[in-house]
Amino acid sequence: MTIPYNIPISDLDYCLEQLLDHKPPKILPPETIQHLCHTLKTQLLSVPNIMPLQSPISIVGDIHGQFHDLLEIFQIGGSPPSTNYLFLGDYVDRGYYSVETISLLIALKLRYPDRVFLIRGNHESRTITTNYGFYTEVLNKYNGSAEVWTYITDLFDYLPLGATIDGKIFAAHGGLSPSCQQLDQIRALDRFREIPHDGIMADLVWSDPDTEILDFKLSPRGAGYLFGLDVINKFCHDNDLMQMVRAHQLCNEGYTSYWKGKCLTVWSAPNYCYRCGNRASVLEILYYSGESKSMGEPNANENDVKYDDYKNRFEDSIVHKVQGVLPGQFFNIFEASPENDEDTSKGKGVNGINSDEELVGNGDFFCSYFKERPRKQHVEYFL
Amino acid sequence: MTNWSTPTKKIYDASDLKNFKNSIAFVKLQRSLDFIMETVQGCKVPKDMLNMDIVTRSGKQSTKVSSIVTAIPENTQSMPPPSPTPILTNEFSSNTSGLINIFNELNRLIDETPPLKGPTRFGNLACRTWHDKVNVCLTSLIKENLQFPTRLDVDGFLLEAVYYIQNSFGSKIRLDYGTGHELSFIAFLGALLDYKILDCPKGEELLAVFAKYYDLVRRLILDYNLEPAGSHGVWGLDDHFHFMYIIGACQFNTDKLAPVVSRVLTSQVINSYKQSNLYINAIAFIFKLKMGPFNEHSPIIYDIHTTVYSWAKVKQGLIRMYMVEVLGKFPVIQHFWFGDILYPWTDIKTGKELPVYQKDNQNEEKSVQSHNTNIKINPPSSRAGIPMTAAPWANTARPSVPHNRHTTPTTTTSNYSSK
Repeated sequence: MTIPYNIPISDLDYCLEQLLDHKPPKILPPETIQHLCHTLKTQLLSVPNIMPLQSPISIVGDIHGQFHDLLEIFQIGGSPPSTNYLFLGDYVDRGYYSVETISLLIALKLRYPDRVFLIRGNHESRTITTNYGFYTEVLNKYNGSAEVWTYITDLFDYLPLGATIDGKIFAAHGGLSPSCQQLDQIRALDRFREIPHDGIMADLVWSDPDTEILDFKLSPRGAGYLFGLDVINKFCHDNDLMQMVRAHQLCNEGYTSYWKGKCLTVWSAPNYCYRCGNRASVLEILYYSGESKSMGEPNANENDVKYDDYKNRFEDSIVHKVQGVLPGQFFNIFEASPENDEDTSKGKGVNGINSDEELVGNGDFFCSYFKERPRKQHVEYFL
Repeated sequence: MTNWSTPTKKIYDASDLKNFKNSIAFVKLQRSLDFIMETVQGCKVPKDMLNMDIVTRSGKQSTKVSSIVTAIPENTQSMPPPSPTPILTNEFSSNTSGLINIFNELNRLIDETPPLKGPTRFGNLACRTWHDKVNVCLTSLIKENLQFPTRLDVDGFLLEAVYYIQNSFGSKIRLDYGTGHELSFIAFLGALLDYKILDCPKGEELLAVFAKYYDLVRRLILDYNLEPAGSHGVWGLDDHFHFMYIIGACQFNTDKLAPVVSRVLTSQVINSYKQSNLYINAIAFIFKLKMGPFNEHSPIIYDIHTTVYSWAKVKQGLIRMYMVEVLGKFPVIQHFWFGDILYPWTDIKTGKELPVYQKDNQNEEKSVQSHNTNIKINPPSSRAGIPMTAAPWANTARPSVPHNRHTTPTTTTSNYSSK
């Protein structure tokens, strides 16, 4: 594959540093975001709608601007380039750090193009981000300008819609569509557009599994469908798949297994919206365990070292039975990052739960960082 | 002569908002808002009106009415500001006491309707049972507890007014609560003020009524896991309320003993004022509900307290924001309905009825159908009571499962690629 246009690695590392070395993370300047988005767009042009990927790979569900929890994922699950990552979308909206989260993911994708893969969720859309927070966040963080929102939502139009892993697992953000029986139908879509209200592209990012039905049913979300056991069985059979992995729905335990692992939900935003108290997970797909046993054996390839780890982790345990995943798979579960543990205001406790002294107006780093910030849009109501 | 009538939906489209702004209903709502804001200035919520359990995080949630009785401030060091003219509950007008009785009764119905056990996928369905119980008894409860002016057609009045209070406890169908429901309560209160059922109430009386209302609603939110209606995540003022903050800011506005704006987010201020001020009480509720750095989960409130210096400015800003974010937002206002007398859909200048832009008949029929479908299927929501994202265009009718799904794949593919 030819990569049409590149940014020097040192520049990308600088962007990553900005986001990682500062607390809170430093946002990138609009020109940088524009440059990053433009470059990534040119690279995504040649990427198919469904990316053919291989194990081992870790699959991440919804993040929703929970930047510190994204860093927690790299802590517990290893970071690129040593670990491969497939992100299932919903990077933005609702959380406080959507800008930082998507900036980090864009920079990571450019820095490690063969290790990091991003697909599109229902929130990677102009309409949805206008309604659920990302647009407002950009206005607040970029001095009332929506420029950065435009660059990023334009980039969203280029994101692929799904992936296959070892040709046997189908991964997408939401679920299946009554208009789509073959993966080739997805491959044939013109995806470079805003997510439409209906049709295959909409259903892929909006649908949910439902164990109480067999067929399709309208989704209460107002977009997409609920799909049942018959639907997933037929789809898997017709496309020679073992399983579908998707995100899109909050799970208290961080994951849900439907129909004995035929469909998995992975959810990666712990304590969602600062109030749900849920756990989160990353789905680690360590090796392919298809019908032919030999596929699951360690091959003489680069994965040898890791395989021993997997062996210890799996063959001696019944984790896949407990979690309802297939052999070779593992939900790595985590809770909200320590950053979120306490009720704090600028790092100090409030409401008597943590000790606090002077909360407002002291000159620590955090504070001075905020004071450098341009005035936020909603403050204008108060002038 | 105009007759009392059951309120009906008039706002179907974002473009109807400009008619709303020209309606008598809008002017009357604004008058009520102004009256409330003016009356509560410098006043405190009477002692023991607010249930401290609602805003205190603890191992076990106990929000039962029976546990309200003694509200002891946790922080004995803090000095509750002296109240210059304390008003005792026995000085309340009989209708204020009547309203408080009504809320106590509705609270008792929550006790009687415990949340269903076991993991429920959506907001707890027991809440629908509670709504049913309330709907059965609300009109008679109001008649029993309030005294009406002799010349008022009480049944006619209640035909319109009860709609607004019924709608102020959140949506029975969607199991959610938001600023639109809060507005509906203000509309109900406005009706009582208009017809002198609450006759020149003191600020403390209004605050007592609001305290009881907010505590009831927050019990519903906590016990039944109600969703924030239309949440913008962290980028809204609050997941559920807005006017509550305005009332609290008004309370502080002329109060020389009000805390400094920049010190509000400290445990000292919160503990000292959460019993007497609705702004502080609302913030204490956020602390109960949310974990994490305050500046992240509530950035707008955080910014208010790092950039605004006077309560007058806080109040003014909150009101401006309310006009835009609540009274000016179609997703909120579309649920406000209009009767003929309390809140008429009538042009304030011409006195003529404002136009209603319903879709053509066919579409209208479709949208009714789709509405019914929505009732049957579960509303978008989640186990933890945070909304799953709903499509903003969700209200439009759409076909059920498409028929072309049984066509051969190749045909469908070509259909798609030809588009």
